[in-house]
Amino acid sequence: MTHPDSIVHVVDDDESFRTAIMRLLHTAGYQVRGYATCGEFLLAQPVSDCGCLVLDIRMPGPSGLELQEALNRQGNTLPIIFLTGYGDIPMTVNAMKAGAVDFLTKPVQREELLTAVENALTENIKSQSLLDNVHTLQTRYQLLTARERSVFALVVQGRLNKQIAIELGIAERTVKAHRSQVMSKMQVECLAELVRAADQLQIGSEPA
Amino acid sequence: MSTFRRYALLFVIFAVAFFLLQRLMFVLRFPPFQRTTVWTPGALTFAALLLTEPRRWWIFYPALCLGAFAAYYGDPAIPQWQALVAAQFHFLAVAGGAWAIRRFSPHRYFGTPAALLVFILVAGLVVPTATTLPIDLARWLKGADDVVSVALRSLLCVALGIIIATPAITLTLEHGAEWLRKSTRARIAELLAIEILLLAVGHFAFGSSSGGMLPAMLYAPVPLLLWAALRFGLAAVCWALLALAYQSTWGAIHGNGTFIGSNPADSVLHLQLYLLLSSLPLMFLAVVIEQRSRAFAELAQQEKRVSSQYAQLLTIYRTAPVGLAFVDHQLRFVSVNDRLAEMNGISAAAHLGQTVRQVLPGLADKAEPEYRRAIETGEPIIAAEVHGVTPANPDVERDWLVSHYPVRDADGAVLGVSTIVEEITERKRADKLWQELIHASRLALLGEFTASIAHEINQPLGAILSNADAAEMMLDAEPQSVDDVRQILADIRRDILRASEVIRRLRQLLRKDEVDFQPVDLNEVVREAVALVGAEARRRGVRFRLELADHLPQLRGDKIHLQQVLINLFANGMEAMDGMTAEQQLYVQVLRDQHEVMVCVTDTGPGIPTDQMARVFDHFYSTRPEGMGMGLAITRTLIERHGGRITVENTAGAGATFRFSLPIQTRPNPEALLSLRETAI
Repeated sequence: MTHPDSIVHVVDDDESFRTAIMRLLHTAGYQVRGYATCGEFLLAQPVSDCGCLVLDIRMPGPSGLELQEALNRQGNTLPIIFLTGYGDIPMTVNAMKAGAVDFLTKPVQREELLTAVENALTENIKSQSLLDNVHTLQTRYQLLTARERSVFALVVQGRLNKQIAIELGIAERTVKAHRSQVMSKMQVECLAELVRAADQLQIGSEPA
Repeated sequence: MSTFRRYALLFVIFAVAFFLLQRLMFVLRFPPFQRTTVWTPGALTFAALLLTEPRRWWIFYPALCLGAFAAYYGDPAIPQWQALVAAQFHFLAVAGGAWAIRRFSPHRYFGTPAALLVFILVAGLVVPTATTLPIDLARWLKGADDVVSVALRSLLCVALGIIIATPAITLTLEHGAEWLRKSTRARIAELLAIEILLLAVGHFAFGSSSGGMLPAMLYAPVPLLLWAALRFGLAAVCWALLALAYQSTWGAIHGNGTFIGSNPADSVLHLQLYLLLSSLPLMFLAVVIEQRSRAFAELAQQEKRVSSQYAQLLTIYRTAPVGLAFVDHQLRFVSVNDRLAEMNGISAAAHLGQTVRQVLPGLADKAEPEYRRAIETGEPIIAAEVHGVTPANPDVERDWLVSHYPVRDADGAVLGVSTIVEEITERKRADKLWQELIHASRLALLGEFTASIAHEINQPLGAILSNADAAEMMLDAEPQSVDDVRQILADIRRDILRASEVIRRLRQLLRKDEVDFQPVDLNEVVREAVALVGAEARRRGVRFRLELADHLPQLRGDKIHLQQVLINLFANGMEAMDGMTAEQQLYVQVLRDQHEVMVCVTDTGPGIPTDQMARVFDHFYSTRPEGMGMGLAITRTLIERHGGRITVENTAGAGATFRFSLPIQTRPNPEALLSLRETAI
């Protein structure tokens, strides 16, 4: 509903339980896909990064934790909601450390599940859009010439045009021209925006 | 002694004896008539043939010829050749008679009246006829005028000799030495006294001219003869009769006694008839008395045996460690042993004549119907458990195993009940402890599976909850989506059944029941046990491989206990394979042969170290750090209770194999249940 492109992946070896969860999520308006084992899920990849994973911890074959580890290694950012039959504290701690967004105990309450899924999807989308933003800035940054990049780095460090001109051994006018070129290429209106972009690109912290 | 010498001795003795007897006969001949009353040499031949095996009879033939020839040497009355011819006929006749007696006599020749009758008919009629007939025929052919009269006397002469003297000689040779050895001096003196008195009376009656002429004197020897018959039997009577015969003959030859006829031939006949008539009844009397005294002796022997057996039984009865009693049909105690008296707290004597209710007021309501039932149905009541108190200790409740066996008289009517009472209070207590231990170990075993069992129940519960939520949401959104909801309800029902099945299996194992031997299907028991540990096996990544047997006969057993055995073996196997990287598998095989059903549980673990193999079934021996060491010990006890056995071995290329077998046709064995005490810790 709220996340039309997101898919909720349900991995549980118990068919009956999996069906019930999928049915519930489906009725709640999510796109749902089910897998009996971790292997099945991995084989179905590449799945869209958009969505979340509802994962049973104990399963024959690789466990939910092992799947989490594998996804982390791949740099997959799909948020994971763990389901378990019993509150196993060390396991919960491990799962949370490894970046699980939630940990639910079976039998799972409707509100709990739906809230967890909703949160996971929202977070996913947030991180997805963040990633997209950085990606755009990086593309724009690629358009800058080497001189423009140097000017960019010094500007966001708060240097004055004159200082930059001395440092780079060029005329102040040239610096001004580069500066306006950077603003235009990075598609920012003001210095503050440029500084934020530099922040997202992690530019300026290192010496130019 | 060599056979030859033995035969030679027999030959000589017989020839000499025959010669002497024949010579004695010459002395007792009536002078002009040249015949005697009782001819005994024939009896010697007869006795010899009765006492020896037929294959040795040939020895006596030449001896007889020699004896006869020697005896008649120089005899004026009968020429030697005639005596020799007569000897041939005599031997043949006696051999035939002896053979017939040996073959057909019913009992030891003279043991019974019937045997004596057969003997008298053969020895007194057939043999004498065959012996004398040829000579009579020869005389008839020669034209003698007194053929019939002489033939009759000769026949009687030979017959009397054989009838009277054969038993005397045979029995004396057979039993004389033994009799002398066994008899007291007084008894031997008594026999001598009879003989001496008989000689004296005989001399007075037949040998002297003073009393000899009185016919009444014929009865004078009778008391002595009866005395011999009553006290000493047939042999003594026959010897006495022989003495009587020769005394009377001697007297008559010398003109004394009542048998002086008008001529010697008459005298002979008179004497012979007198002897015949007096000997036959006396001999029968002696045999009957001997038979009766033999029967009495046997009876006495038997009574001695019976009384010694009775004494043994009485000792067993009195000292038996179980309570024993006999109760008549009015439920009165007829006999009680010490143990029962002790149990009841009343002396054995005080029981007698008292009713069950009087002795055991506290138990009568339970006991009386059982006694009555045994009496009325005539069927035994075996090993019924009774619980209650006795006057011995009215404050302590006890348990007994009581059996009632109806006792019937010869007509089949129930006389009363024989009761066996065994106290089992301690046994029951020990057994109860064992039951609790077995139950506790089952709980501990299941405790190891708590997590996976909880998971197994949680799964369907989770599904039910989510399904119910989904249904509710569906109905909220689209109230007409009935088909979807129906599908959901079907799923919910299935999950409820699934959860309740897990709970059923669990409850069954957690229950604390009495041992219950029922027909069980071992395949089914294996399947249930595998289902119970299935979740745990999945959790651990252990794979089950099942190989059940076809056409399994139903065994008798306690299903729960057998499941406990299997689950314990599975738990051990899974534990043994824990942490192994290779495939973890439990291979469960059910096999059968003619006599038993076997179950093998093989794991793929490292196996059991050989030095520990012998101890795995011991109490407190454990392969697991957290194990109490009771699992396998209890497993073994449970299997043994089913009449089975359990073994363990390492399988080449795999881990350990536990193999247990249960006999087909296992009977419920209360003894096995009660013998748990011995196998207890």
